[in-house]
Amino acid sequence: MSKTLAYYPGCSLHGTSGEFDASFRASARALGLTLQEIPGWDCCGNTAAHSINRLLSTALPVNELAKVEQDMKLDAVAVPCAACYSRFKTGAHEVGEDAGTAADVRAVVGRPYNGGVTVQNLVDVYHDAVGLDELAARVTRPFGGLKIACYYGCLLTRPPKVTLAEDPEYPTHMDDVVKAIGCEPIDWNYKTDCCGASLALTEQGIVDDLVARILNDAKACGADAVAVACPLCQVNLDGRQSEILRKNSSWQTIPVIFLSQLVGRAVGVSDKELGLKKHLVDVIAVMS
Amino acid sequence: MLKLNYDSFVRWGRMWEVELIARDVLKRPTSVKSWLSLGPKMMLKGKINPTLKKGDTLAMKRMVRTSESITSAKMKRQAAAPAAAADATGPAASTADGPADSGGES
Repeated sequence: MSKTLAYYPGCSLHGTSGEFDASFRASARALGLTLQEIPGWDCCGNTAAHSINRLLSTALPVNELAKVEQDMKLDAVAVPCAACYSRFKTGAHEVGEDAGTAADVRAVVGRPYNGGVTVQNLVDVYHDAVGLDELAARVTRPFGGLKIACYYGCLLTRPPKVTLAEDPEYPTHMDDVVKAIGCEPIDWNYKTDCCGASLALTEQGIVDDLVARILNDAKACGADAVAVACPLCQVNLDGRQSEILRKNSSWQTIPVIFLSQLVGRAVGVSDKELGLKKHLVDVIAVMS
Repeated sequence: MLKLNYDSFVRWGRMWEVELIARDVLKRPTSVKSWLSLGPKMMLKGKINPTLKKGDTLAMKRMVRTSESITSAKMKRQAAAPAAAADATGPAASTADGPADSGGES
């Protein structure tokens, strides 16, 4: 299999979540995917642009989509960060739905975007671009039934009219992916609940409560680890556990692993390349 | 925080987390406590990258300028619209409704 995807890493993957970037690139390479990073990519605007300059928040992702479509001549872009993915899908949706917005965005971007690019999140890349059969066939180090709680968070599937997710409240595609690499996905209740996102910068107490609720349910349902596909969710679910432990000495930590690290390990990528030592809660014990 | 985030990517083309934290601490000195609970651990793990790879800053600045000017023009038009509508309906209303009102009053 040889397929080329444009690649938009986003700011977090070049910052606090370098291991997400490294493991995604390495797993893609091992799966026969070629990733072409969008040259000179700019920020997708995230929540800040959406709150301060709405037109810019639509134009920024559309500008990247226009580059993929017209400069790179590719028909799909991988956007592993869930927040960036949401902005890309929203941008494409808004220019496709409203002629007035499309005209304004065209003026800001300086050229039209013709809708010729499929936006794929991390789960889509493994589930659809690679395919479950191909993924299973490439596994060289299968997990022996490691129990995984697949955490989708708020943005991978919602809002459904934008993401077109099949089952936005109880999605299963990530579960299919972890099953293909030898893990056992568990049924649990907090798949799409919010981790508190950027409130971790200003309201840590609220985030600690949300994170504790999510992880307690994962543990109660039998998970050995939680799989995530969002850098902010990973930082919150992994990083806040030390603070939760400080408040509650009986807290049992649980590893929070990027889906790309699980897939990468299963298809033979080295632990060092996957950045497994960068987690605050140790993941190596459950990964080996 | 949103404004700091916005200013960061407008300045560099991409959001620079280290700058964001530094500016937040300067603006809200009390926030240093919350950063200290996690920041050093992340730094030791090599999760905080002090360097920045800039995006296309020229394109970013052009898009910000254009979007602000389009938005500002729209807001001016919207603000002017009720006044224009009032101007348009005022005399018309007195003309059209005048006899009826007069009739009603009489």
